[in-house]
Amino acid sequence: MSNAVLSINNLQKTYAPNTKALKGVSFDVNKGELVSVIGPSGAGKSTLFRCINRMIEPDQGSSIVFNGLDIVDLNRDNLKNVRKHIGMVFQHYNLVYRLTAIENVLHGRLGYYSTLKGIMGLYSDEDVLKAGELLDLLGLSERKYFKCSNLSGGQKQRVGIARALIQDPTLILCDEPIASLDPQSSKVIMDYLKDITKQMGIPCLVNLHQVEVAINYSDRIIGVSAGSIVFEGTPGEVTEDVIKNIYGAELNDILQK
Amino acid sequence: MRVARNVFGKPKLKERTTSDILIRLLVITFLAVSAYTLFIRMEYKWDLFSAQTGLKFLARFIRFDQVPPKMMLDMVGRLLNTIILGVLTTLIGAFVGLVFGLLGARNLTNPKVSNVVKGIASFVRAVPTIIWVLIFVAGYGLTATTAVVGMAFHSFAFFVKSYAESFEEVDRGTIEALKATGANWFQIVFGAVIPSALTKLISWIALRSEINFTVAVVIGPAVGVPGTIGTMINNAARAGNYEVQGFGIILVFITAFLMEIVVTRLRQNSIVSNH
Amino acid sequence: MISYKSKSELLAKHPFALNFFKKRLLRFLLITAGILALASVGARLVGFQILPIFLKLPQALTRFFKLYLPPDFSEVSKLFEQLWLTVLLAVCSATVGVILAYFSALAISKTTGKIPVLRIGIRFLATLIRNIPSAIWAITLLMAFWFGEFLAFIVMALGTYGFMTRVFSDMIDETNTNSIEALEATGASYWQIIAQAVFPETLPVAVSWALYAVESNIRSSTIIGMLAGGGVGYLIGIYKHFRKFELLFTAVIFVVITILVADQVSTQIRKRIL
Repeated sequence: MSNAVLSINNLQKTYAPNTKALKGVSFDVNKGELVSVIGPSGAGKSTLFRCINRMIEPDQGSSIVFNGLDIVDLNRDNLKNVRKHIGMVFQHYNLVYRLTAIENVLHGRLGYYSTLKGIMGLYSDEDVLKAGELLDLLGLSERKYFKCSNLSGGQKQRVGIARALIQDPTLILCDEPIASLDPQSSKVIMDYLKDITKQMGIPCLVNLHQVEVAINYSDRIIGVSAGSIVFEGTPGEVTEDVIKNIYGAELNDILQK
Repeated sequence: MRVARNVFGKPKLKERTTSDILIRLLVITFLAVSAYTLFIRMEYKWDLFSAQTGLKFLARFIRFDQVPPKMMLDMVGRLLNTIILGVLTTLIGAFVGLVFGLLGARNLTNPKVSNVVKGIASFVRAVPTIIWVLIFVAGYGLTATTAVVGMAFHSFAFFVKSYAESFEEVDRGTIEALKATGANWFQIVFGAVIPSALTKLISWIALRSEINFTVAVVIGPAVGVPGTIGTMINNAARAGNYEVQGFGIILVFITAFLMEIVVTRLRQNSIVSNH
Repeated sequence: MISYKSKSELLAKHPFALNFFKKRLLRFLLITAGILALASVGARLVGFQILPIFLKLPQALTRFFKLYLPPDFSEVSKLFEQLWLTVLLAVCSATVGVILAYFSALAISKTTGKIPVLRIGIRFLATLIRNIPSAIWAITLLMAFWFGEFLAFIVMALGTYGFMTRVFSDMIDETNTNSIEALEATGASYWQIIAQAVFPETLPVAVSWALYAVESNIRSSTIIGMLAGGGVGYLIGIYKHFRKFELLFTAVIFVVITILVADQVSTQIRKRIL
């Protein structure tokens, strides 16, 4: 238990009286682990991810313990403090395309600055240098001062990862990080995520569409269907029956891919 | 125009047909009202028009050689004054409008605040510019300052509306991403929202500068703001100095035309750069 | 946790990074200072001072209240008559302006304009009309036409025409050329293609712009009426001239109501058309 960075217990989310997106989800994420969440679209994966940093408010009675703090009970200031330590990577990168790569990376530090400094973009020398270093690490040394609108999809996603990394995160949430990318770029991104968990020791929780990728890269896989966890285990334990159980009627579509 | 109306009962097609009926009704109404106004309502039409006088005026309009050079210089100065009035109006409107545009954007505040701000803006917009100027003139007397402040009201409302719309078009994901890093409202606004919308904001400012130049020209003859090109054209027309009037019109035209070219460029750029 | 190299090592590795942000800040400060400097020079040239506005606010308000309040409703029937005329003029000039603009746009659009001379000529005319403010048109045409509603109609129609010609030629450029091509292939004549392909495709947009034109004509009717005569603007001009500010205030109230109503009506109709 002491090994867990994130520990979710009985997480529930009700949108309208009769639509429960999450029906009591519980699992842990441990240090140095890459955990994938798979499941059909509409299963509640996206809601699950957004509940973890409370971009969406979970129901009362849920418990999300991160670094020994229950996120569900936090007030706004403390919540911002927690968010500083959780990096997030998005399917559509969510960058400011008019700004350069390095400026977008530094957005990850905004939470650490006073309002005025953040507005004026008065970042400290250390942070600017760190941002440059991270872009180097992610193979973007030539693209640091490019406007993000001029980058390819894979490059944009690497800027997104650098933005998460500069937060000095304890955990990184990746919401469908490769769903908009071609196979080649997808592989690059997944390799980087694997490196981040193994070499930097930052656990990643990854929401994935492709079962194949999840099996290749994860330490542990969680299968979600209709707002509940229906499978939890190592990639080796994922059998055809398990997939059938997770995806149900959609199975044929998955296999045809 | 044939419309497949009665055969299909599907809602989607039905929607189209209501639109078709509406369009037809509007066209008929517009034409009928126009015919009534032009042929029945108006008491006079061409009877007072004389082509001869018109041509005589036109001939004198273009005799720029008869405008003394000193006068020309004076007029260019007044044109400059007018441009400055327009620019100052735009700057004030753009700055105050920015603050309220942020409050009016649905994705940056709660819906109540947004509705109130937008409501105020549409009321301010409904009062004609000239009336705002008259109101300020009543309070403060006729000066360049009152003219600018009066004109700025309309600009302010324009910017609130157009800025708020541009902010609302900013990708939700970008705002979400900054929220997720723990940034606060101001940091999100200045880090993500304004940079994303910047090209659009600039093109709104350019568009408004074009409009405000026209307004600054118009406000002269209507209220009598001294030292503007509009007032000068009006006085020249009354005094019968048609060469001066013609030259003034040319100056106004050239300025407006140049502004239009700049604005068109900017707008094309802002469309292109929208990834 | 990520371990970074020491600052001096990083500095050696990224020599431009710090400069980039310093330059950016400098550029921002320079632009802001430049705008402020230009604005203050301009303000001094025309004698613009913002402070008195705030300092003299109480006196200004009392003077305004004394002049304009309470609104005088004694001439409401006359006012309504002129307001009705304003609406009629706005619709009429919008219709005429839009129809003329539509045909001009056909002549100057890249897809439908076939005669080069006409294209250049009309483009020049529309540019000229558009870039001379309505008020200047009113002052100038006053000499050939006479003061009154017909002049107001012409000035508004010119305004609509200048603006809409540009809008419509863009619109026709954007309509899909496939249907035009298909009809051309069947051997249809120019006017047949316009009537069967271009017109139906663009009619809803054109009508919604016509509504916009009505709205904007009502908005500008105050000033045009003051300078050219006709409609509620004419009345406001008279009230202003004879310093009947209580009557003027009543007129303003009803003008604002009319504009708000017109705005709502045209938004609602446009929503249903498009």
